[in-house]
Amino acid sequence: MAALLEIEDLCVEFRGRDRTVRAVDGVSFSIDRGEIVGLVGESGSGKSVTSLATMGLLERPSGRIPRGSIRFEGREIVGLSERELQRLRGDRISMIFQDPLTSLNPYLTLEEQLGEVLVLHRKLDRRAARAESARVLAQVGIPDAEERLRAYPHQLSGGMRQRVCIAMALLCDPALLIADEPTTMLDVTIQAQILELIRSIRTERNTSILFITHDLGVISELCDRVIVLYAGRVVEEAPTRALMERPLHPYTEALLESTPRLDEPAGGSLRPIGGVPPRLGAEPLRECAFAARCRRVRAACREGEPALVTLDDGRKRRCIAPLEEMGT
Amino acid sequence: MALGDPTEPRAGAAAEATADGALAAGQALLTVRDLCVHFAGPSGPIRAVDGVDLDLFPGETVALVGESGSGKSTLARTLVGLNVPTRGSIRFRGTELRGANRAALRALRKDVQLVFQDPYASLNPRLTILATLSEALLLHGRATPRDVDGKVSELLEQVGLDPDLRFRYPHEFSGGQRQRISIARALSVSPKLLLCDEVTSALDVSIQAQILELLKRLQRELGIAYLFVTHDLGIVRYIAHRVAVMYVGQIVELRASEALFTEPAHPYTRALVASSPRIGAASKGKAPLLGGEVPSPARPPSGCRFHPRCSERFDPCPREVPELYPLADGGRSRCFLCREA
Amino acid sequence: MTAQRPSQGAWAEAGRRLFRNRMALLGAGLLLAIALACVLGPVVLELDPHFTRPELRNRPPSGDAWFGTDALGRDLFARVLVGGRASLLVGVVATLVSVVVGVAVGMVAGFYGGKTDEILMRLVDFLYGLPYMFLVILVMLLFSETARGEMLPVFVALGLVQWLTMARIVRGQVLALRGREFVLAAELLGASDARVLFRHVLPNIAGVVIVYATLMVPSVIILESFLSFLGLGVALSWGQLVSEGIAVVNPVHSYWWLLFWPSLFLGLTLLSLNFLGDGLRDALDPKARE
Repeated sequence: MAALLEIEDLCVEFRGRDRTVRAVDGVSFSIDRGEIVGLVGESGSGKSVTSLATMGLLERPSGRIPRGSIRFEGREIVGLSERELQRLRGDRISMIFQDPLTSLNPYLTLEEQLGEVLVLHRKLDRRAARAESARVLAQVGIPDAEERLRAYPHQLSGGMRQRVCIAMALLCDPALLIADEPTTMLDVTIQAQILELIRSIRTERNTSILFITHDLGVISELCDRVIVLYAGRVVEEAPTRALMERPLHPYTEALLESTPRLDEPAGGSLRPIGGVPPRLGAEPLRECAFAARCRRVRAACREGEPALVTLDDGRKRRCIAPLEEMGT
Repeated sequence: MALGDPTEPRAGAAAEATADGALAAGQALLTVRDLCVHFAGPSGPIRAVDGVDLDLFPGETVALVGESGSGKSTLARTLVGLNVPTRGSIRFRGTELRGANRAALRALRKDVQLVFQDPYASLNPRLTILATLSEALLLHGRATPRDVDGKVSELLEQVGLDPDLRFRYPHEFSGGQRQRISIARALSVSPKLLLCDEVTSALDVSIQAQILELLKRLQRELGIAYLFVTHDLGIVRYIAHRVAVMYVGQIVELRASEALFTEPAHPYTRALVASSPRIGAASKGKAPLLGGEVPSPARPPSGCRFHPRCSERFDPCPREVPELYPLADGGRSRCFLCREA
Repeated sequence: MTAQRPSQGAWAEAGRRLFRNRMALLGAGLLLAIALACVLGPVVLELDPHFTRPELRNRPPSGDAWFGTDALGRDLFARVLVGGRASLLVGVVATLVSVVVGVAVGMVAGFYGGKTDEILMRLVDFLYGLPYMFLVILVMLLFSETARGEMLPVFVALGLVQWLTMARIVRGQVLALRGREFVLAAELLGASDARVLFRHVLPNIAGVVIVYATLMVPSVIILESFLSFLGLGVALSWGQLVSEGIAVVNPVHSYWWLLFWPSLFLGLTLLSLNFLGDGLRDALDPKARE
């Protein structure tokens, strides 16, 4: 059975006045129904751009997709007209963002905003939309949902607002929910609530979730599978547990080593990753993107970019260092 | 030039001996008693900081942890003079700061500095790094116009940056580099205490690690004390000797770092530790989630401020305000469950 | 990471951005041309704007008088150029006065806040509420009869009224900067208020001030023209010429040149200043930074 979302060799470029930046270069991965897949990377890794490309929301006119394919429910969506993309958005694929405050229109009540989605996609009338909105709001854990519909976004707390955004995303029961750092701006205890909510969405509705974050702890607790991005490329892909216990790419290793652990007593030391990510122009890199900062680097790394290799157990890695060496 | 006074006692003895807030005032660098910072709000006062007692000793790192509305940032800014306290006392090396004259406040500037969270707003975009760092040195007579260039170079090296970069402008640096420069600026006056207000929150994980390692190294070399404001418990465990957990303007637990993580005393601390995402943990479901919202300091709950969300509340909690009761290991917890008889 | 190229300050970058803006360059060029013509033209060509030749009055443009002559037979070309000196000078000086006063008041109000801010802004609001021309005329009348027609009273009158807008703008900018971390950091280091204001606040609002000042010059020039209609402007300026031109226009003889040339110069100057001002705004806007 085909996967719900299949991204193959996706490239995204941004044309500036003086130069072109290739934010995503040859990214491939897929998401099955009911999966929670984590996309992890630091700033500049291309994780957000990948999700925006999937929604057809790249900044125009500077953002373009020169190469690559995104198939959703078996259908190619790169190159779709704006109209057709609009039919997909909010209905089959939904997205929630980092800042719930700017994701909601401050001038509209919740009823109006939620209603808009239902009227647009499901052609409901106002009364039916109202009832449905209240129902979904209650499902995401907002007390007194009927009353709350009349409220404006600024009257709610950050956590509540994010729940409203999730509700909006769920109104048409999408097959795929893309969440771009949805809990980064929330307090820890509220984050835990939202993550639990996201888990329940998968369990109850079998919705697939693409969860984008820089936080390895969140990935660890939420995601079934992880894709690690660096400099616009996939450098590793593995089931979460396996990745955390035995990373097979030096960048993943380094990321894990530089994250202070809540569970480990003090006295250890973090190993920061020196240097900075490479500048991404339109020409292909002539060496491994991580070579300049990698502690396992060898001569061969500088001779060309390694390919993404799929191992027997299904894990993927973009590194020529021998497997036995990883973890030493 | 030796930055920092190497004769101050290091973290070891002072911090391990005392795990809580109250000890011989003569030894402490900073002594805060009953500090309140209230702001005027549309419907009554906003009690951002509401009765905080804290001692800080030379060379140690105390983490100030909390969620939004806890008052941790307000507290840090008040300690450095950016907010005016409504009530209470702040003593730095014995000198009371409230109502102090200009000269005393000026002297304080040399001893206590603050590094901000936002690396992009922390540096004047119109000045070169050399100009920014020279200002501090010249202002406090730590350099003359002739040798200031050399001293700025030394400062940059100390924070791990190439001195040749001093002729550049802030926009040419990354977030991590700018934080290093901000730290250099704070160090230029050789403070005894550095307040770090979420200094790594805006940085990537790998850069965050660089900054944390830098701060640790500087503490080893210069004996500076840190008051580290953060919401990230992983960082706390890594860097802090002692921890003060804040909730709606009050300290609810004050503990040695290891003790806090192995056996948190206050229900809020327990919830905080349990809610924090960890690498390698399987999916949650076992630890109880904390329901409800974080209360606003404009309308703190009655009695124990945590009682509406506390799974262990009992009779006195909604009515009486608990004190910071001492614990067996020397820590303190603001919970009736920890009250002896 | 050693320095490969000389560091570019914000001003240099802004300069480069400005250079790339063709409209702004056009405006700047035109402005320069007009200014040079007005300042040097009469000197180089030995023109006399006051020399009357009643026998040649109201003649259309010819080889003898390129722009024609006015009701007293004076060479309009000479008058337009010399009048330009006054208009431009008034524009620049009055704007300068308003900048100095406005920035001073705005910085103090925005930086200190509290009662100081309240008092200053109430003053600004109050003055704003008064009829503008009333104030100007009042100031003009305060000067003695003999000073009428001189430039100084006009500088003062216009400058004193224009500072209000500048003060408000500057106050807004300073308020936005006030809580910025680098300003707080400077204070934390023990810098005096004056130092913080001049070294940290002022350079960061200078861009906005420059843009608004550039856009203020045209309105000052127009105001001066307005004063000329009331007979209170400078004795010889573009506004004055337009005023004279309108006075003699009638259904029989249009005397179009009397209106056309001063209006053309006035219009071109205002247009150039607007292009330049827009270009400066784009160049100095930090959000345009890559």
